[in-house]
Amino acid sequence: MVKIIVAEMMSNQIQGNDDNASPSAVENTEQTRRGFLNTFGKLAMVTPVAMTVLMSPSTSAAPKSCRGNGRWKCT
Amino acid sequence: MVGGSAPEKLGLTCYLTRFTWHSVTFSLSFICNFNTMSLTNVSLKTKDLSLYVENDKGLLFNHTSCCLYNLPAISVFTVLLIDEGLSKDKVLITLKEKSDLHIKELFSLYWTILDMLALQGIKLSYADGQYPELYTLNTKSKSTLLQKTNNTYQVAGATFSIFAHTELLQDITALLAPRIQQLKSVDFEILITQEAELYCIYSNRILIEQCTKYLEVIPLIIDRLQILAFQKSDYTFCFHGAALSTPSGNLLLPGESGAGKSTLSAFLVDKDHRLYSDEIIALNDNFEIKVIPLPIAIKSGSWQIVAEKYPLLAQAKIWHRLDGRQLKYLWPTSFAEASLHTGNKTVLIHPQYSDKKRVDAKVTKLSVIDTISLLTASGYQLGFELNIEKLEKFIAFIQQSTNFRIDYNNSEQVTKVLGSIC
Repeated sequence: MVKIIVAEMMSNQIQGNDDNASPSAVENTEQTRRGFLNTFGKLAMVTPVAMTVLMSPSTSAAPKSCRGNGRWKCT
Repeated sequence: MVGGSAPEKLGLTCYLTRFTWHSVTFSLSFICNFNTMSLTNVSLKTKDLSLYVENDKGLLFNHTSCCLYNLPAISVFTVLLIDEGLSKDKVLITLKEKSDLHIKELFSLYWTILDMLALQGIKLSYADGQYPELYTLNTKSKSTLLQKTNNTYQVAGATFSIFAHTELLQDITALLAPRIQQLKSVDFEILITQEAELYCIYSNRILIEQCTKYLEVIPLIIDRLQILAFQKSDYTFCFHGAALSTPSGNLLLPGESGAGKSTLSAFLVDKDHRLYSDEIIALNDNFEIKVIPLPIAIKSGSWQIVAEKYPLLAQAKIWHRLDGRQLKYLWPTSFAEASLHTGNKTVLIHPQYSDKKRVDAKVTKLSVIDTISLLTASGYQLGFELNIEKLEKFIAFIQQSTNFRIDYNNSEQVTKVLGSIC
């Protein structure tokens, strides 16, 4: 299911855009965002909710070799 | 690199057998013949947020809180709806139309996303994770303690003196002999005292660790030297893992404890591979890797197999981690002299050791988002406040490197795979 939706997305040839651009580029940006809205609206049906903090001041800590490193800081 | 949209042949999962890597990739491209989306920057209306999408996932960076998130599709969708300016009720109605989730779960999702998007700074800083003795660098030459010991060491750009009672000092001197330097002043004065049944470790007069067993002291000292060595440097990104130089570039092996990084490093360090570190991947602003020359910690499960290559390991002393694991230290045959990243290829392998018997290693290509997720999940530290410029440079570095996960049962399987791709 995910593969089909992503393939559909690719066939639409949607790309990211610049901010400071002509009216047609702005329209393009708008279209792009709407394209992503459609795609991720479809994907929302088939993916789980879990999300993760990858980098934040509260999880950045000296990596240590102990059980539970990474998400759970070693003492 | 960020924002490119050329489709790539990704999503390969293959079992290497007797074929070369190139032929396997080629033949599997027929089997897994679908295009996946490369990492693309989605222009948002909210200017202090950056969103990148890849396949069915997203990376969201909040410029104000300096936080980076990994989002599944439904969260990307929610971010896009909120960014469109829809009211809470409209967002929830639209989510309900698209998802089977209960309305309570959708409420919870909505508020979590709003928290993520909050454009207010948080009081924490990436600098908070620096060890306290870095702020009390020893500036005096020939301090009282330093006059009492000849045990001074250099690890990368950091210098240390270590003072302890005789037996412990002998063990430390024996283990760290390759790092001994005659120094008149040091950055960090480490003092180990024994009070009743308790060993106390001080660094620049700050109590940094305590343990109850003699055998636990050395691993604590080695870990401290390792971390202070990179924290004192001009590192920007640091990840938990091993790093080696190879004839064609650099090999990074990020992973949590027990993934097999140290054992693999011991196997790979030979005439073709040189070690930067078996524990710390510390990168500077140009993504050059820091050399942190300290012994490799081999856990008890690998002693027998590693001793076949390093016979001295059989006689090495056994030390204990605070979590109960036993380890022995060995010095690799060679260290890398300096990072040779510029113009060279970087291969990033996420090793996953398992007891499960398998004929060959299972090799899975990783997307950019999955690579960043695995790197950070193993443990990481930043030496600066994360901003969009640095993040985009980091994403470009990951895009340019070749990223795989390897599930394996013995080191030979990995060396066989690496022989084909490095």
